[in-house]
This record gives sequence, C-alpha cells and structure tokens, in this order.
Amino acid sequence: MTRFWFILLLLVAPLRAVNAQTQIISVSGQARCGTEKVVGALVTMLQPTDSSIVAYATTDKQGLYTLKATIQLSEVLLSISGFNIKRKTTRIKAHSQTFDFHVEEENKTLREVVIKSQKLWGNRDTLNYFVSAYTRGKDRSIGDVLQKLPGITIENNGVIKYQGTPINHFYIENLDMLQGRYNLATQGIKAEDVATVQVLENHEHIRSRQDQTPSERAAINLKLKDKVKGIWSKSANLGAGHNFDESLWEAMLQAMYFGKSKQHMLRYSGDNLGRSQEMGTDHYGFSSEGNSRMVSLVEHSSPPIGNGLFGYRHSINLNNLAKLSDSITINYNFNYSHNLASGHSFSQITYLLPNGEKQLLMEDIADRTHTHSANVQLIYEKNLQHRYLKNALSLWGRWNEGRGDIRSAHQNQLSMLNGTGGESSISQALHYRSLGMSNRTHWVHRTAKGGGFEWTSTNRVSTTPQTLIIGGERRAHQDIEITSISTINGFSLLRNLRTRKWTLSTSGNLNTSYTILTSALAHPNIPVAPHGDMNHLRSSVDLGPVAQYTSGAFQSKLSVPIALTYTALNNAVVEGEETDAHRLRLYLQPSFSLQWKATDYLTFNANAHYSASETPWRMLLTANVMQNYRSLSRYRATLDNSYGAGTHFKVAFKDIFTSMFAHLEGSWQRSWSDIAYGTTLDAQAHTIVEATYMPNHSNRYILTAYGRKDIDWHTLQIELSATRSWGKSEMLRQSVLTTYRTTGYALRGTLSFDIVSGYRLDYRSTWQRQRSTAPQHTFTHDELNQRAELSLRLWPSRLFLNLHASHTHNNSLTSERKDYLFIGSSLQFKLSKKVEFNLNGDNLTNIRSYSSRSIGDMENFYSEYYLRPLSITLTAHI
Amino acid sequence: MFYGQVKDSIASTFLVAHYDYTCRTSDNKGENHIVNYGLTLQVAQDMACTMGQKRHNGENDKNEQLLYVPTTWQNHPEGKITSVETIPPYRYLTTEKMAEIKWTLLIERDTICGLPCQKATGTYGGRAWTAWFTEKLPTRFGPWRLGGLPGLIVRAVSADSIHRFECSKVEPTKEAITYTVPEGIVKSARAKFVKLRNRIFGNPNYVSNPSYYIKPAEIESMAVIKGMVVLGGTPIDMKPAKFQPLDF
Repeated sequence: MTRFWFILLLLVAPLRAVNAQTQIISVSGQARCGTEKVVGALVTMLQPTDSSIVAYATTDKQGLYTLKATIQLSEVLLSISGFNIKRKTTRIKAHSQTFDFHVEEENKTLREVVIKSQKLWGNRDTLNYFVSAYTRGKDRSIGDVLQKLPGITIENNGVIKYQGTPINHFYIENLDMLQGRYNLATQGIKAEDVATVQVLENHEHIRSRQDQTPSERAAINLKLKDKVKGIWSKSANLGAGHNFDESLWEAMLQAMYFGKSKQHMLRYSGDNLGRSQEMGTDHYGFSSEGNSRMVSLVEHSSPPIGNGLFGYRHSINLNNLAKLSDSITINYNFNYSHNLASGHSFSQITYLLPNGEKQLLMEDIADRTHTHSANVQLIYEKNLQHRYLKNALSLWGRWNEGRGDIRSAHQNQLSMLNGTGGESSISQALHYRSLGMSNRTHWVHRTAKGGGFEWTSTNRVSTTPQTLIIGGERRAHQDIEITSISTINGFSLLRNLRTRKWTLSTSGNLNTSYTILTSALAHPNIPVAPHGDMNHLRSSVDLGPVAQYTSGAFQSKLSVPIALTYTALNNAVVEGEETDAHRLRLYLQPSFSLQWKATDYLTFNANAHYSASETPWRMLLTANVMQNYRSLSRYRATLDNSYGAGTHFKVAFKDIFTSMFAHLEGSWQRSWSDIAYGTTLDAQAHTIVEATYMPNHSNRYILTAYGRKDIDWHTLQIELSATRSWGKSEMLRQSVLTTYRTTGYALRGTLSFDIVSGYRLDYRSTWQRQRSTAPQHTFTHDELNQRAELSLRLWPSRLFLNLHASHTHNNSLTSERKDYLFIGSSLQFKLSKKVEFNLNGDNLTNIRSYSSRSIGDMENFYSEYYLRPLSITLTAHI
Repeated sequence: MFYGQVKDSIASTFLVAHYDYTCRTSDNKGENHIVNYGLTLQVAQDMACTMGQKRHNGENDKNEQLLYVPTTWQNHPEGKITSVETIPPYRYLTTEKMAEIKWTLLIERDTICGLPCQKATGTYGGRAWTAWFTEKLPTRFGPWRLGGLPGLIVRAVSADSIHRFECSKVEPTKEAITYTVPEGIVKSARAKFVKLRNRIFGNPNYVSNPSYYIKPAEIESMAVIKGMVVLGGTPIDMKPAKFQPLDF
C-alpha cells in the first residue's frame, strides 16, 4: 500500500511542478492622472515577498507601458512612481493582462532657482517668454500679460507691435484660426492657460518663400499648457451695475477648443459700458471691405480721455479651423456685430484763411447710429515646402442707420468783432449699406533647384447705396449708389537666393477696376450738376526686373517695374465742361530695400521708393456731392498724376539676456502734384472741396527712438520713447495756395516696479507739443497725460485691489479748465480657480464734461465732450 | 572655452544631482595619477543633462576647461543622446540613438547618499558597468550617458575600476535645462567621433606632445593666457594624463 501511495506521489508531483513552473507574463496598460496621460513615469513589477524588481518600464508619450517578466509566482506587485504623481502600488494576479493606472497628482514644492535668462530665451529668430514669469496676480487674460513682455506693445486700437512694427500673424499652437482678429484671443484666452509666448522674428508664413527676403514683421505664437489642449474650455462673464442715468450690463459667453487637428473659438459678447474697441476687428491689414463711403453724418467726437460713448453693442464671433493634414488647413469664420453708438459733444473749429483772417464754426452735436456688420470667411490653405496654395473667400455686409441733430453757429472775422453771427438747427439722417464679396488666391510653386513663381489674384465686387438727408432750417437730399468690380493680379519669378549672391528675376501685375456711380442731389445752393452718373475704368499692366543680392545675413532687393495704364472716364454731361477723359500712360516705379542681421543683437532695415499714382475715381466726379451737411465737393474730369518718394530706416537692438530692447527709426516722405485739392469756405463756414491746377508739394520727416529695459530688482520695467516730426505742406484754401509748417515733439515714458512683493506701481506719461505755422498764423499746442496704477495684493491669490488715476493737462486751454483728474478702481476677488468677481468703479470723481484743444491742417479745434457719469458694476467671471 | 550665447531652454528640472567623477590613470611620467572633477546632472520629466559642475554654476573654470568635460543631453532630441565634446582646436556635436542598456538587476542593496539603492550590471560603449540606483528618485536617467534603470543612478563604476561616478548630493530643485550649441561646432556621427577621439588622445605621442596632431592650417589664432595655451579659442592641456576613454 505504501508503495502505491509513493508511486502515486511520484506521478502527482510533476503535475504540481507544472502548476508552479516558470511562466512568461506580459502586463500592459495606460497611466492617467485625471484626463491627462502620464508621460515618463516608472512602472515596476515587484516580488511581493521582498519587493525586489522583476521588470520595469517607462510610460511613453501616450502614457502606455508594457512589462514582460518570467516568474513563478501567483501574484506580483505593480507599482508606478514619478516626480509629479503619488506612488501607487497594487497587487495583481501573475498572468498576462491589461492594467491601467489612475494616479493622483502630487505637487512637490521645489526650491526654485532663478536663473536670469529663465523668463526669456531665444534663438536668432525666435524669442520665448515664460508667461508665468510675467503674470501678476490680477492678470486674467493673455492680453494683460502681453503688454508687459519686453519688445511687445499693444496700441489703443488693439494692434500688437513688436519692436514698433505690427505683427503679421497671430498663431495659437502654430495655427492661425483667427486670421487677424486676434483681439478675440488676447481678451478671451486666460493667462494661466498659456505656457509660452513665442515671437517669431522676420516671420515668413509661406514655407516655399522662406528662403526669400525675410519680412521685417514678426509673428506671435501662443503655446498652451497641456491641460487646455484637446478639451472644450468654457467661460462666462455676467455683470450688472448702475450709473446716475441708467442700468449697466455686460455679458460674455465663450467656448474654446484647441486640439491637434481642430480649433474653435465661439463667443458672444455684449455690454452697454461704452467700450469702443471692436473685438472682431481684422488687424492684418488686408481689408476686403474697401472704402466706398462718400456721405456721412457730422458726428460727436470721442474724448481722448474718459468715456464719451453711450449705447450698447452685441457681437457673435464663430471662428473655426480644421487641420486636414500637416500642411492643409481650412478656416470657416463668421463674425457679426450690432452696435448702437450715441453721444453728445460741442466743437469749435477755427479755420485759418490765407488773408490772415479767421472763420469760426461752432456745433453742438448729438447723434446716434445703429450699425450691423457681418462677415463670412472661408479659407483653404495648403502650405508645403515647394508648393503653397491659399484661397480666401470673403462675404461681407454693413448697414448703418444714423440720426443726428446739430445746433450750429458761425462767425467770420467781422462778426467776431461785432459779436454777431448766424445760427441754425440741422437734422441729419444717414442710410448706408455695403454688400460685397471678394476672393483672394495665392499660389507659389518652387522647383527642386530653387526656381519657381508666385501668383496672387484678388477679385472683388461690391455695391454700396448710401443716402444722406438733411432737414431743419436747410433741406437737402443726397443719394449715391456705387458698384465696384476689380481684379488685382500679381506674378513674380522666384530664384534660389542661397546658392548665388546675385539673382535676377521678374515681377508683373495686371489690374483692372471698374466703378459705376450714380448720384442725385437736391440742395438749395447747387445751381449746376445736381445729378451725376460716372463710369470709371482703369487697367494697368506692369513688368520689370527684380535684382537681389544676398550675402549671409545681408539681403537687398531692387525692383524697377514699368507700368502701362489705361483710364477711361465718363461723367454725365455738364454744359460747358469737359466730363470725359481717356488716357494711356507709362510709369516707372522703382523701389529698394535692404535688411542686415548684423549680429544676434543688431538688425538694420532700410527702404526707399518712388511712385506715381493717378487721380482716384472719387475725385473725378463732376457732379456736386454733399459729403455732409456742411461740405460739398465737385471735381473736374482731369486725369493727372501725384508723385511720391520716401525713405525709411530702422536700427533695432535686442539683448535677451539683459532684457533690453531698443530701436531708432526715421522716415522722410515727399509728395508732389500738379493738382491741388482744397476747400473754399462760404459765409456760413460751409466748405466746398475742389480741385485746381496748381503745382504743390509737401515734405515730412519723422524720427523716433525707443528703449525698454527689465531689471530683476523689484521687477522693474522702464520704457522711454521720443519722437520728433517736421513737415512742410501746401494747402489750397479760398483758392490760394498756402504754405504751412508743422513741428511736433512727443516724449513717452513708462515705469513699473514692485514697491514690495504684491504691491506694484505702473506709471505712464506722455508729453507732446505741436506747432503749426502759416503766414500770419501760429498755433502751439502742449499736452501732458499721465496715468498711475497701483495694484495691491490684499490676500495672496484671492483678493486684489487696483486703483488708477489719469491726469491730463492741456496748456492750450486759455480761460477753460486745464487739468482733469479721472479716478477709477476695481476690487478683484478670486473665489476659486474658476470663479472670480470684479467690482469696478469708473469715473469716481464724476467728471461729466471734458474740454480739449488741438491743431490740424490750418485749423484749430476746441471740443467739449459729455462723459459717462460715475458708474459701479459687479461682474462674475466663470 | 566659451560657449556661444545662442541658448534655448528646453525643460525644467525635478532634481539636480552632483557627482564626483574620478579616473585612475597615469601621468606623463608614468606614475599613478587620479583625475577628479565634479559633474552636475539636471533631471527633468523626460530628459536629462550632464555637464561640468563649474559650468553649471556659471563659472569659466580653467581646470574644468582643460579636462574637456563633455556636456551630454539624454533624450534630446527625443530618443537620442546629444553631446558637445572637445578635440582641440575643434568642438564636436554628436548625436546617436539612445541605446537600451540591458541591465541585470542583482539582489545586493546598499545606502548611498542616504538613499536605499539596488545593484545592477550592464554594458555600454564597450565597457562593463556596475551601477547602483534608487527607486526613491523615480527617473530613468543617470550621469553621463548611463541610464535605463528604474531609479536615479547614484553610483556607477566601470568593471576595471578606472572610471567612477559617485553621487555626493541630490537637490529637489527647479531650474531650466538649456541646450547650448557653440558657434563653429563640427557635427559628427557618434561612432566616428569616438573613433577619432580615441585615436588622437590614445596615441602614445599625445602625453608628451598634446598638440602633435594639429596642422598649422587649422590654427586660426594662438595665445597664452595666464599660463594657458589657447588655440583658436580652445585651451590645450600641455601636461595631460594618459587618456582613458569612457566609451569605445
């Protein structure tokens, strides 16, 4: 029996050995922390008995790992660890399986070593700004931070400049979704969602043109943090408040998505807070809408300081981009805005007459204008190394309905002495509509050897009916309808600039524009030509050589195109006058540019040009046109030329390690023509704009110096600029050609620093002096504007107080008040990372009117603006 | 030697480790000599950089310059090891695919730098290495070109005991890792560079005449600055020790 059990044991033992024998297992899976993949974490397989490692791996870019081990165990330990995650260990069965880790973030407080160049670093053509190094507690949007970055300035109208030159592209994660409407991003994207702001100097977007002469302009690219990529970010602002006159409100709803192949920005915003900046403005400079406005209201003017804009606005912006491949993108954008703008101001214009006399026009203006504006864009772009194709189709519509009332008074030299003059009450109504479509195609083709061509074609059609109706003590009615069709085509041969120093190529253009204008005017003072029909056709073809010299970082280009133009003008018949004209002309329009990147610190740019242009169609209409209630125009059918020549230079310095930026810029412009356009003032100070054969010229010089330095001591930023301008012009007034000179100086300075940590002072000051000198007249205008802003961190990361004061001193105001002080404040409370409240107080000194003086071309202006009263608003940001 | 001022910050560290590197060799008289200098390893989430400790601290140290201490970036660009090394009068930029070192984990344990460590052996660049790593610091990187273990390598000794990296200090510090490429650098494949370096520095003439291989046409300029001979911007060690290559 014993033998039996022994034999049985011998038989069973191998079976047991089989059960405990070595096996190869494979465990794989993914590691996630919330929705984010965990990259670079260590995953180890351990023996439960002594925690010795049997296999290990590192998670890849997708957070995936795979472990293979040969073991004899029934269970193993699986452990994950990394610098920013909590270590996690789990016991699992020892067989092949998929095991996903869900870990928690562990924010270890690391001692931060501040290296001077950490905030800002860069290669020759790219600057990188660490956003977190420039963000202050109260900064919300990336626009708040952009203003602080060295080398970058944001103008009052929202245009972003780098080293004084407007940027040519604004990317988000290397994609241009907004196509120029980048205010939507600067105001809509939170500063905390942006990791780095890149400035791409001398940026050329088209890959197949990157070996050509680099652009002077830079581009900006926002690199977002991983936490906002690939997810919908939603935010909302809701605000309410009151001033002494009305209830105030504001609302903003926004959703954004930034993924690898798609980007979306959907936004509604509206308020009645008197904000004049339109978020949807296209800043790239390629306006498809053109300018066909010939009639307008005389409107209230906007104060240079304080808020004089009443009314409300709504806007919807739907911007989308789809990336079909590495090189192909499609944009489809829709932007709509509806504004009601109203205001009230008083102005006094002193016209200087050639005989030494003056004429005064005083106007008390109240007006309101409804504007609807819509724009649809469809853009296809394919951007390869040797080929580029972009087609942009744009449809737009703009509707204005305006009404206004004016009480006007006028005085001439005699009535000024007698204290007499005339008065009148006028009502105005404007109906304006513009509908149009344009299609722009851009095609670049390069060969393997570096040759190729570039072709652009812009085709546009628009119709613009507009009506101005004047009522009250004087009645008039102006109808105009303009239809324009144009095609603008350019072609140039491209060469390989890298293999040779000298290259010769060709460029050409073929342009045609056809304008049809019908005009009907009913006006008591117009004896002749109240109606007009005009057809204007202009065709031009130009061709010329382009010589380029390239040597290392030095590039220069000379272009000498010869242009042949044909113009045909037909106006409605006016008795006793020539109303038609035809002309064939040859023009030479050379231009030269050079760029030299001397070192990583210094860059030189210079250019010069000579050009000739023909009388534009709007100055060839022989019928009378009422431009506004007090201005009539009538021209002659005379095709003539205006000439221009100019030079511009710029020396830019940049040292990113000492955070110093500076540039010196100068320009000279001269223009001359045989036809002078001027004004004749009647007894009521109403103007008639006319053209007369009278050779005239003008010169203008501008010199600007700019410097900015950042110092680590108290995070100090200091910025200075100085501008000097000088001009000499000839102007036709009362049929007399008068020479006048203008000189101007402007000094601007900015100083920002931390008084102590959490308490920051920003101070900005602008002083300018303008002087206008004409025979028997001299006007001087001095103005000082200052703004100080104190930001206080009352409770770290939670409560911030901002106090700001603006002071203006206008030396030209004689008997009126010269100094104004505007005070405002805001209290910001961050309830959490996502929720924030703002209590804003504007115009706390409740200044209801503001006066200023300024000078123009042989005119002196005095204005009084009626301002929005003290207001308090509470806004929640989610 | 001065690096060009073209810098690009590529990552932020989680820790910075300082090492003592020692090399047992002989001097120009044939007597035993130990070469010793400090190295700093900057470790980020998915890359690391090793450089001379003086250079890391921003100092232009004469001795460190004469030792031609390389600067090495692991996993930059992704999947590659890049380094800047010197064979006077030139500096070389080499890139190679990150080799997966096949480590054998052993059960032996020790405490180094106050950290519990486990032993492992592996081969890299033609040398066998014994490394000690700590799971407490969860990174796969180590000094110079060593790495691939489930924790920071705090000690590494070559099998013949000639080369030794010993960690002296680890700091949980956040600083920028910069990628600096000197102007005028020569790009070369790693294998080709290693062959050239070992041939030049391993030549018996090198110890007695360290500039034997430099052709007069290659010398743009020559200067003696504070007793140091500088050729074309690169200092030359006129009394070098016998060269012991780290890799073959």
